[in-house]
Amino acid sequence: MRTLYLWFIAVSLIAPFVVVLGVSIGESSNIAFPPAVLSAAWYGELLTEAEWLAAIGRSLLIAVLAGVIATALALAINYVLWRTGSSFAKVIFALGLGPFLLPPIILALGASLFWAEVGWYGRMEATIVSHGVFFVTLPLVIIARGFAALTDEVIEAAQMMGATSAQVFRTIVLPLIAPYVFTGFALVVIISVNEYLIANMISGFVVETLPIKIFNNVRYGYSPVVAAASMLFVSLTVTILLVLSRVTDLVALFGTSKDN
Amino acid sequence: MAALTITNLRKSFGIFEALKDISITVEDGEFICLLGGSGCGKTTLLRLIAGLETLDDGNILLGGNDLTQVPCHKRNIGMVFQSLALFPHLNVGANVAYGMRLRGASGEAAALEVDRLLNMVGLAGLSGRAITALSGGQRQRVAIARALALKPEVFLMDEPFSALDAGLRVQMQEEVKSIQREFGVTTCFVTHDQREAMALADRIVVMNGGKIEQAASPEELYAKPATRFVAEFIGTNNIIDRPGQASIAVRPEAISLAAKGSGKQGQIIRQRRLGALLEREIRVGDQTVHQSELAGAGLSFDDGAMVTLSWDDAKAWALPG
Amino acid sequence: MMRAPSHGPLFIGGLAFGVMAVFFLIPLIFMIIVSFYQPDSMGFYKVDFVWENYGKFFSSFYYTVSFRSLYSAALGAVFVVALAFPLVLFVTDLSSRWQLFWIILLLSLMCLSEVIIGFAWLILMSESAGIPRLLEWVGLWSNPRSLSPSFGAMMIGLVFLGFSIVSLILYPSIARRDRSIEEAAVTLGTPPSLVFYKVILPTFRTSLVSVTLTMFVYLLGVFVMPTMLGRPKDWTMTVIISDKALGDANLPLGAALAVVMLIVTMLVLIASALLTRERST
Repeated sequence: MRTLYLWFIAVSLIAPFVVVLGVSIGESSNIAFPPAVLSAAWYGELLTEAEWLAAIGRSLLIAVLAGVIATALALAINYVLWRTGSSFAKVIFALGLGPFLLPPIILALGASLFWAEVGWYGRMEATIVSHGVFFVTLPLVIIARGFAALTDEVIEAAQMMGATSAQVFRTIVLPLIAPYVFTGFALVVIISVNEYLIANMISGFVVETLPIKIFNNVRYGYSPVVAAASMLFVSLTVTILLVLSRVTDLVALFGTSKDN
Repeated sequence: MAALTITNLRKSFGIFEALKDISITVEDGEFICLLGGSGCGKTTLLRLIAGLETLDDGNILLGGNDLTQVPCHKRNIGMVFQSLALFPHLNVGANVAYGMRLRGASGEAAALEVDRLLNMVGLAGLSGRAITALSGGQRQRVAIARALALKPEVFLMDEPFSALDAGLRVQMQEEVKSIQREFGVTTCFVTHDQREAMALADRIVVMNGGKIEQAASPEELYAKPATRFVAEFIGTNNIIDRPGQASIAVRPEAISLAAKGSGKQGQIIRQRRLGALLEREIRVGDQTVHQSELAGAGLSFDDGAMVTLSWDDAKAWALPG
Repeated sequence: MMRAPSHGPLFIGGLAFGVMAVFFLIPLIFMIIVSFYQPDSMGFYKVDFVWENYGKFFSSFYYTVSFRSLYSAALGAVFVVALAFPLVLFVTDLSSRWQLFWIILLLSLMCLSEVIIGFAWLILMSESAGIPRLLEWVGLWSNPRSLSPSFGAMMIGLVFLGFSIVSLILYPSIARRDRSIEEAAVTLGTPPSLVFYKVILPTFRTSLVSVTLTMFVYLLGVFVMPTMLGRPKDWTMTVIISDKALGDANLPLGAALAVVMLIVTMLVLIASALLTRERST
């Protein structure tokens, strides 16, 4: 009964992507599944046509820079909270949870009006900064778990052996929380690469990211290149998460492993 | 190595007075135990010596130098924490070498010293192990080696063995004692376990309510408690109040029983045979007196029997004050 | 540790607060301000103070849209939680190897673009590649037609989208649950078939209610599913706001609608916070 339910859900979650994969490797330019003749032509088109390549490049650039901003912010906020425990730090932390709680359309419209007023409409920097600030929540809570593992006594032990505050940060704090920082960074990159609504509202017509391009293609008559692009996404996302699972104990991050 | 002199130390946390006017001198190379219940101030005193807390008043001298204004990371003091506080991201060798590397020791020099230290604590060859791959006792040894790596002038330990089971605990106590002798380092060891303190210390400092009750050798502490608190805290004791005179403390083993005679009368309410030892509880008026003797050494009585208690006055200790 | 008074943390904290304030709070505040401006046919706005944009919200069109949004978000939220809760309950009992598989699967889906998921379902519902074709092949449907756009297709999209998020939110608390409570219930005579209703469900009642509310807010804000899989009459407030702001270039009206949505969101979040607090004290 349990196993049946697990299988049912697993199949429902994965099936859509199997179909997309099928479409992307079919020769037919109409949407068809299962594919009659196999072909890698759509992937070829995706990776050679300048417009698609530009969208991929833009998306990756935005994602990596937004990841840097979000992770740096999250690290700074957590460091201050850990170091001082002040109510000011708690307020900043709570502020960082905000973007996750609000519907993206509200963030998107606010950001779009803001950047238009500032005069940065259509600039990639606007998308980067907004993604970085709006996606701070995940690294914030993940890095917080890292700092929780960093007890006072560990820090005191380092001080007693002669470490100054700066040395404590460099030799103890940073290496201990590095896996959490990396996890947070990777998640922001993935989310940013995948995000449509905010990127579209801020500068969609000018800064066309991969999701925007896919969406426009689907809406105005699609070709199987979209399926190939989607699969590129899926594999990128899954790859990053698999790498991540090597670096961090994801099971422990979300719960407790059963052996404990 | 140097003597540690603490004079008129005070420390409050908010309205809570953790330490009230503490003065004590620890001789060069001496091993003292700070003993007391929770909240007695023993850990606070240790943390003040370490420089992990700032003192309100008084001063701490180490070999004649005033430590009061010296920040924690510039005092040459080694410490083993209750949680051990090993660095989980570093392996055994890197944990021990941490302080040396901070001081600019080369990797090779540090590695040599690490090998020597690990050898001494019985962990030879485990330098490359991850901390998570060690047993509880091995982690203790790493923490000790790490604290001693910088050849500290004072060695502090904050209930390091409280998480160990009884057997391992005794073994670690013996090892710490011999390591301390070998290094000859002035040592302060915090514990709430009087057996541990007795086993380790040259001198035990009994603390209560932020004050030192008595600082004396284990033997003296047992035989000549300075205060009623110490008399009741260390071992089992019978405090007998005498109208108009100082109260006396009589150890259970100093009391002998007779079926009749002159002296205090009591009724046996419980008897337990613990291996070679026979322990009795005797009701005398509204007080319960503990008595013990080697089984078979004295008379035997039934539960509920009336007995007469007597003791050698030379073994009764009149409490000062 | 010694927390010597230091300006470093204060400076870093101030900087972080500044960044959050400028790029998160100020845009929200500016949006509220714009909602009182006059629309301008050139696509921007005229500085003013009018209630007119909010007045428009109370016309029948936006009224209907809001109620439809609330309805589909609520329905979706209930479905998502009802499906995800038992799944997480079962998954947390698996070996850590399989737990890792599920966590990576759920994380991938959580991160994956709405656009990709919408597109995948679009294909799965199309007559030439997806479920209709499968049914035809099995012989259950002789004359297959595409299943989207429709309300049902949109709901499936919403549920799919929310499923991974709810699962991952519930995961930590369910993984750390005290399993001896279930065993105690059985030794006290609860039939195993009833343990779920008598013990597990009541234990997690508060977190289930709060995650349902979180999901409700999330689904209110979904944009791609209604546009890709739903009919125009299934469109939600999010689509309308985006349409007003980008399509009709009526920014003040879009802003006013977003402010209404912000208020609804805040109310739901406050309700959720109160619910959780009541139980914990």
